[in-house]
Order: sequence, then C-alpha cells, then structure tokens
Amino acid sequence: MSTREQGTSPRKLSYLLAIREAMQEEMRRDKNVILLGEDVARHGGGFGVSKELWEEFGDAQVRNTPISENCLAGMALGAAMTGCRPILEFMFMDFSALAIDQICNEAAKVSYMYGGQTNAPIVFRCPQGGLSYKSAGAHHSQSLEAWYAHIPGLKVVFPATPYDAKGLLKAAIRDPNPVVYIEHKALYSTEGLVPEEEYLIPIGKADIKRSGNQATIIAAGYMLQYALEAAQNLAIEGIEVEVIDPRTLNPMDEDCIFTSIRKTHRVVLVQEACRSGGVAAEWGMRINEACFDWLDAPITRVAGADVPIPYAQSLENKVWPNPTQIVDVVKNACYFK
Amino acid sequence: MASEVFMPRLTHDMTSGRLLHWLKKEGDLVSIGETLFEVETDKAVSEVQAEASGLLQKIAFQEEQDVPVGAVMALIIAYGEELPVSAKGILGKSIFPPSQDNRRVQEQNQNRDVAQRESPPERRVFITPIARKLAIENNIDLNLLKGSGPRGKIVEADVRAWIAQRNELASVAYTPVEDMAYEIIPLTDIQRITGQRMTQSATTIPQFTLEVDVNMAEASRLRNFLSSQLGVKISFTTLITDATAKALHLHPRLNATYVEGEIRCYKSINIAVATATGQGLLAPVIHDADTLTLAQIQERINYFQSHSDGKSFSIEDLSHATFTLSNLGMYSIDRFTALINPPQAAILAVGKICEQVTMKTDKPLIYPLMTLRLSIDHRILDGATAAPFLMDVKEILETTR
Repeated sequence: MSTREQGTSPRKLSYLLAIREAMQEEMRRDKNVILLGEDVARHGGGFGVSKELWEEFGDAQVRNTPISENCLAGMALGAAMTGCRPILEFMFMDFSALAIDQICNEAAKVSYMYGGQTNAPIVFRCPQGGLSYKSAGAHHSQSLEAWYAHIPGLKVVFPATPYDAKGLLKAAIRDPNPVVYIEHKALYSTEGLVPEEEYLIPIGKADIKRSGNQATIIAAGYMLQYALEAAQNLAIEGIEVEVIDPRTLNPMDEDCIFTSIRKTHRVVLVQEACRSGGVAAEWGMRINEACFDWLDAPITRVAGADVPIPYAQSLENKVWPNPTQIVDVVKNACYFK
Repeated sequence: MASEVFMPRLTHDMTSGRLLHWLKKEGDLVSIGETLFEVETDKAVSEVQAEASGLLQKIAFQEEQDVPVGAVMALIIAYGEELPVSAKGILGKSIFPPSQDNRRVQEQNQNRDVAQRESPPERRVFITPIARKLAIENNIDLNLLKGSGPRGKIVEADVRAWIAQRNELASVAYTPVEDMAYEIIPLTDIQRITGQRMTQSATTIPQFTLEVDVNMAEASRLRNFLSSQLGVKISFTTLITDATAKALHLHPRLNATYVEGEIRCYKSINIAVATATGQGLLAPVIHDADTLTLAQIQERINYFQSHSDGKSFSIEDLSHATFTLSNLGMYSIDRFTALINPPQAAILAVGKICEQVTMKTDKPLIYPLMTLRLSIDHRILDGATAAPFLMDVKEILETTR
C-alpha cells in the first residue's frame, strides 16, 4: 500500500473489517444509509461482514430480506428514489444475475430517464471470485465485473486492499448514482494499514502500487497480490515493472494507465475472470487506441480459462492465473531471453 | 497469443532442414529460450530455441523429416489460451510472406518489358510501433536496422542502440576544441542519407577491391571517330557504362543485392552513376543499360549533368539501381577505392586516363592508361567470381568495335 495514503494514525485492519467500518461510519453520519440483504441483520451476512451493525442501528437501518434478489434490488431502488441511500448486499455476486434487470435497466437509468428529477444512490455490494476461497463450484466462484462495467450509468469499483476497501465504500455510499462495489471473498481476511481518521478514495482514480519502468502490469482485486508477487520475482531477474491497481473498473483512470505505458512501452493485463469479453479486453483496446505509438510489444493478458469454475481443487487451480504465468508473460513482453 | 514454432533459415542458401529430434513433446510446458528441437543442415547440426513460453501443441513434423524453411512445425499456446480455430490451417505452411517467392516467379513469367522495371522486392519490415516512431523521429532508414526481437522484429532497444552508435561515430569524427573558432555547416538531407548509407557500408559490409589497368587506346579511337565522323559526342563515362552493362550481362552474380541474408540477382541491369549535384552526391540510374545504344546512354548522362545546378531528380531517376559506377577521372584522380552502395554487391571506381609508357616488341610505346577498381561485397562474391567480370570490362573497352 502506498504510504502517502496511510494517514497519520494507521492501524492494521482486515479487508472485511474495513468494509464494515465504512458502513458503520456512514450509517452513523447519515440515518438514510440503510443496509439490506439476506441474513445481514442478526446473522451478520453470509461472510460476517455486517456483524454488530443490527445491534447498533436496529431495524431502522439494517433489514433482512427474503431470498429474492430481484425483489430486493427493486426494494433498494424504490427506497433510493424516495430519499434513502441503500447498501444492498448480495450473498454472492453470482446471484446478482437474478437482479440484473433492476440494476441495469432501472437503477442505472433512472436519473437519465427522469431528466435528473430522481436518482438512485445505491451501493450493490458483490462478493465475488475464488482462489483461496476454494471448492465453491460454478455458482459461487465467478468474477462477473465485466457484466456491470458494460452498462452506462453504473460505476464499478473493485478494491484490493483494506485501505482502498474502506475509502472506496464510503465514496460509493455518498455517490448520487448506483455503484457496483465488488469485494473479493479471498481478500476478506487479508490485513493492511487503515487510518483512524476519516478519508475517502475518489471513484475513477487508479493507484500505482509499485513503480517500475520496463513494463506495466494492470491488475485489480485479488490479482493485484499476484501481480505484486510477480513484480518481486521479476525484479530479482532485473525487470522492474510498474503495477497499477485500477481500483475503479468503470470509469477507467486512463490518465494514470496511459502515462505509465508511455513510460514503460509494455503492458500486461491480469484478470481473474475468464478471458473472453473481460475488462482486460476493454483496457487493452483503449491502450491500443491511445498508446499504439508507444508500444514496444503486443498488449498481452493473463486471464482465467473460458470454462465454468470446476469444483475439484486440482482442476480449479488450473483455471485461475498465477504469479508464475504473469512472470512468463511479462518476460515475453520484454523479449527477455 | 499462439506463437508459431517454425523452421528457421540457418544459412543463406538453406531451403529445408532435417528435423533430427524433438527435445520437447506435445503438451510440454516450454519457456522462452529453451531448446525445442535439433535440425541438421548441409553445414551443421543446430539447436532451435523457443521464442515464447507456454504449452507446446500440435507438433506437425516427425523426427527425421525434411522440413522446408519457414514451415510452421508446432504452436506454443499461452496460459489459459484456447488453441486457435485457425491452428490447423497454419501448420505446415510458411510463416514468411508469400510475396517474395511469388514475385520471383512472376518476374520469370512476365515478359521482360514489364519485369525489367520491377523494383527489387521489398520485404515487410517487422518493427514495433515505438521503434518505428523513434526511427522516423531520428531519420533512420528502417532497412538499415537489425532486429533483436522475435523473428528479427526491430524493437525499441535496437533503434536506441543504432542512435547510440551513430552518436558515438559522430562524436569520434567531431572532437571540438573549445577555443578554436569554427563554422557550422548544416547537413543537407542528401548528405545525411549519404552519411548513413556510407557508414552502413563501411561498418557492415566486408568489402575488398580488385584493380586492373585498361588500355584506353581503342576506346579513345572510337570516341574520336564518333565525334569527328558522326558528330556524336560520347564521353568516356558512357563507354565505360556500356562496357560494364555488357559485362554484367555475362556475370549476373555481380548485378545483385544482399538483403536480409539473401542474394538477389536481377535480370534488369540498372547502373547508377555517382554524380555531384548542387544538392550533394547522388546516384541517378541508367535503367536497362545493357539494352541501350551509346547515344541513349550519353543522353541519360547529359540529363544527369544538367542537374548539377541543384535541380531535383525524380524518384524514378534514383530508384532500382543494381550496380554503381563512380568516375573521378574528370577530377584528375589516378585511381581510388569506392565504398559499396548498400545493398548492392559491387561498385566500380574509375580513375583518369593518363599517358603511360610500356615496352612493346622492344620498343617503347606510349598508350592511354586507365585504372579500374572494383569493390565487392565478400558475402556475395569472392575474387574468383568477380575477377572474370572485371577482365571482361577491360576486354570490351580494349577491343576494336
């Protein structure tokens, strides 16, 4: 984590607690901030993210809902249009598919359709991904950020560290329009420094997590950890890579990414999601359009396989990218022999 | 990206190689730089390394098979990547662009009129975008660059190395002395290009020179005859160009270029004549010189000389040369060695004609002597190949016509 962002009195906090603390602070600050979801009240949510919130804020701000994602998203939208700022927790992002009409056709468009007379300040919290969250099978392990990054009217953020998780969630709650907030299940237990003081991280700002000048790796969510591990191994072999965490997937921070590529002339994109039609494809195309004359190697990506996520761990491990692959692809891009 | 494993061209004249054995088998993980297979050519046994990392897939050739140069022998598939649908169509086919070979066949098939103006075939230069941008910004001819990337692709580092070398050369040539007054004369475009090409010639072409004395009595007689009897003014340059063209016709190996490890011998004999112009040194071309009459050659030379005041030549005037002639006789130079004009195989340097005394049947005889020096690219030619050509030039000039 970049030290410039650690604040004056940082302490160690897990990714999960950073998310909880962001909700807690915002719910205290504004009684209109409410949390909706399956088992989010007494039980504290599927992964325990919202534990203790019901005890503090009660039914007025924390509500259990039936297992009906479509209904739940419609309820959040209605509440948002009538003055609340709902946070909606999907138990797994995979299940947001049931609510996609409310999210993409309604929430994303109300401000536009009503000429700004109403808007939908909703945060859709979406736990996604697999990796160390093992053997969850084809319905509980996917990475679906590309679905929502494709929709005009939705912002999509994907924090990779506790610091970013807290700052981005607070910014998302205060945003006047819907934000898809993706949290990686395998990151919940990871720890990082988070300041006591209040801070926000603006949506649409990427962060350079490691500086280098020979190649740029772009990696969000859990893939940032792999990218940093790869960067460390590459440095031993004399290749200094810059690692950029986009943090926001839509809108993309073109300024930060293009500046880096115009410096390094090589870029490797990493995504956990399956290869075809992923956010890396969009990054790659924009880079091609803006940075073609600066490239010294083809834009390449490391991505998950185009298959449903298997249940067997032996197969599962073959589906996702790993740091060794990133090292190899970066070396190819650097014509390293 | 799937990366093709192909039979490399290990020697200049290699057309195929015998695949001795695979050191990796289908489905193996390979890393860039690892040896994939061994190949035997008529010269040696060589190892071929992987140019990419990934899974080795679709091995299309078996051990002990002869594999044509450029043929795709297998694919290396990146992690998580599917085998491309087009994989089947790629295997066994050549990775080299077809234009090369087609061009040659075409040239053979087409009648001479059309084919003779055909330029030396251009091979696509593989270069990364940043390298191309850098080369253009720094005025570097892409054909002069050697690529160190996969399959000889020119990458940024190659251009930077070239610039560094150029700067180094420039700094050696120009060592300023602080307190001496000097005048800066900016280089013209032509001077800059000439400089680049001559640097390339001097630093990259292993060239050496053959020298021969020519008795110009017959040539002088012919020149005087044409002038006095027919009123046609023919210069020595024209006579030498004519003799050179005729000799090139007999020795096509001299009418060649060396490009990307290939010797290309041309049917058209297009002789460039080094000419001092107001813009700098240029080498306008007498196309198909072997088919022209002396008067037609002279007409071209007069046309070239009419440009000495700085008038521009057309691109056509300057293109498609296959051989160069440089005559400094009119500057009273006895003899000199010229630098080859890349990518041509040779250049002929002509000195002045001077009276020489020799003994002929015990009597001193005075005759006009001229010295020719032929510089040749040792990658294309050797003394034994080039000497008969030079002797034929001499003979044509010395023979009564």
